[in-house]
Amino acid sequence: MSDPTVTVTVKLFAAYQEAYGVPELVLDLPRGSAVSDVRDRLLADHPELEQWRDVTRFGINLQFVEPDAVLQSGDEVVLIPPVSGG
Amino acid sequence: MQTAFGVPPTHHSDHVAMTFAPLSIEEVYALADDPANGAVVVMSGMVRNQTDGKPVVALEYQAYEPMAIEVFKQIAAQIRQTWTDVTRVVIHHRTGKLSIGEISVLVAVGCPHRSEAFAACQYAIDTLKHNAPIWKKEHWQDGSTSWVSIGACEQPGENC
Repeated sequence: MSDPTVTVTVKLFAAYQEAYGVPELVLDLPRGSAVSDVRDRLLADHPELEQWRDVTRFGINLQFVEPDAVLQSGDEVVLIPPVSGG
Repeated sequence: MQTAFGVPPTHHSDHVAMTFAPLSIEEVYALADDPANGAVVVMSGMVRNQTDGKPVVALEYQAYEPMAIEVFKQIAAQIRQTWTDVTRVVIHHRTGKLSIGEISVLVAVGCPHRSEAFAACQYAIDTLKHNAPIWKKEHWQDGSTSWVSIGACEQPGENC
């Protein structure tokens, strides 16, 4: 029987890192979860992050992905609030 | 590798880096130097002493470094597809807390002719600012801090 969950590492930056006080989390999610479900779980834990919901982009394994990208166990996920490099 | 988005491997003469140590214009220029060049355009970005008239004392840069490096490589690859005469693409970015006047980013592009060098360099810095997973926090003179949102930078009249 296959594992009903997937385990992913979530890298946190900027406002997300400040909300959690740590640079990364390890989360278990139901198999078939999308990367946007990671954001939704974090916003449920930290409602003060709600302002970033619609402007957060997503990365999996160092590549930008769409919000509906499906997670695999072992993925490194990043939530990308508005960037300001340069 | 980059195959997921069809980006070719980094050209052997391109150079990208994220570094905690200070950036060197001389090093970046040397990396862009090439006998086929007729022009090298170097873009240098540094910490400004104010934002919208409010005094800034420092900027603190945070980056998701491995993904930022991937984005830099994709920028270099896209430049080579768009401006095929480009000889060298160099992108270096700093992390950590920088004070007024310190260089935060250097982009250098070498080309046989200046117009392509200017265009490619502008593409590189504009794309970096929009896509590289790098964040900066403004440290204000009054001791408070805030993360910069590029949303503010996209308002008419802003100059980020």
